[in-house]
Amino acid sequence: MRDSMNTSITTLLYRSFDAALSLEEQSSLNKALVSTAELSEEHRQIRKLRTMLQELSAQTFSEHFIVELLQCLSENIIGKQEYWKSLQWAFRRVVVIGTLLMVLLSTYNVYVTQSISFDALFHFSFWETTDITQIDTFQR
Amino acid sequence: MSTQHLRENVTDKDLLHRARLGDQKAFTTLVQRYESRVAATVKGMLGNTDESEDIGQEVFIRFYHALHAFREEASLGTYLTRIAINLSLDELKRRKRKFLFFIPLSQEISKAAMTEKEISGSNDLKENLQNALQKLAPEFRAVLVLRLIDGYSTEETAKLLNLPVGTVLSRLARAQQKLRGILKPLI
Repeated sequence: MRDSMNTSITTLLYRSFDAALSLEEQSSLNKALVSTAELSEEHRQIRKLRTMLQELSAQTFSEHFIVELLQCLSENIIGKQEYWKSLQWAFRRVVVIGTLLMVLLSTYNVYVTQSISFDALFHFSFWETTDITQIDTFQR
Repeated sequence: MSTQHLRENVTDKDLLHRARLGDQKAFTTLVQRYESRVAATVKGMLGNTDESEDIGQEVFIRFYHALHAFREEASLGTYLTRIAINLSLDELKRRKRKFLFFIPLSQEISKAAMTEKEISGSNDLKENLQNALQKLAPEFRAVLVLRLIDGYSTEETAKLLNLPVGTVLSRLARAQQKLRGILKPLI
C-alpha cells in the first residue's frame, strides 16, 4: 500500500515538470515534498539534471560544415550516394538469400546421400563429365 | 545583400522564397540559422561522432531537395528537427544491426561498463552528459533530447515522434530516473 503510494507520488513528481497537475495532485505533491526528505532530494536532483541537460542545446558542427555541405550540393554527390547505397542494399539481400539457398540445398544433399563430405554436400558424386555427355540431347 | 544582413533582418519565409528561386546565399543563411538546433538534436542522439556530422549534412541536403515541397505547415525549425530525429533513429537502428552481426556481445558489454567509468572520471560536463545519454535506449533518448535539450513542449515532442502524450511522459520519467543513476556523482 505504502509502496504504491510512493510510486504514485514519484510519478506525480516527474509529471509536474512536463505537464500541468490538477490542484488536488499539486497539493498532495507539495505535502509529500515537505514531509519526505528523500522525495525532496529527488526533486532537487531532477531539477539539476534538467538544467545540466540544457547545456547540450548549444551545439555546433565542425567549422567546415557549411562549406562541405554546399560543395556536396553543388557536386550533386547525394544522388550518387543514394544510388550506391541502394545498390549495396540490394546486393546484400542477394547474398543473404543465396547463402540461405546454398545451406538448404547442401543440407538436403547431405540428407539424401547420407554422408558428410564435400562431394555429398554439392551432390558431385552423381554428376561426372561422362554422365553429362551421355544425356540424350548431347548424343543426338 | 550580405549574408549577415540576411541572417539578422530577413524572415524564414522570405529566405525560403529566395532559396526556392535559386539564391544560394539565402539557403546558406537558413543553414546558419538552424545549424545549432540540428546539431543539438543529432549530437544528443548520436553523440559527438563523425556520423553526427554526416547526418547533419544529410538533414540539410534533404531539406534542400524538398525546398519546393515544404509547405510551411510547421515551422522550419520543427521540420528540420523532424528530419534530424528520424535520420538519427535510422542511424541508431543501422548501428544496432552492425553491432548484432559484427561485434560479440561480451565486447559490447565491456564497452558499456567502460563508459560508466568514463562518466565518473571525466571533468568535462558536456562530455559526461553525452556519454550518459548514449547509455539510454534510443526511444528514451529521443524524448529526452526533444523535450529537455531542444526545448519542445511535451505535446510537440509527442507529435514529432508520433506518440501519445502519456507515452512521452512515462518515457521522460524513466529516462530521467536512469540518467540520475548514471550521473549520480555529478548531481
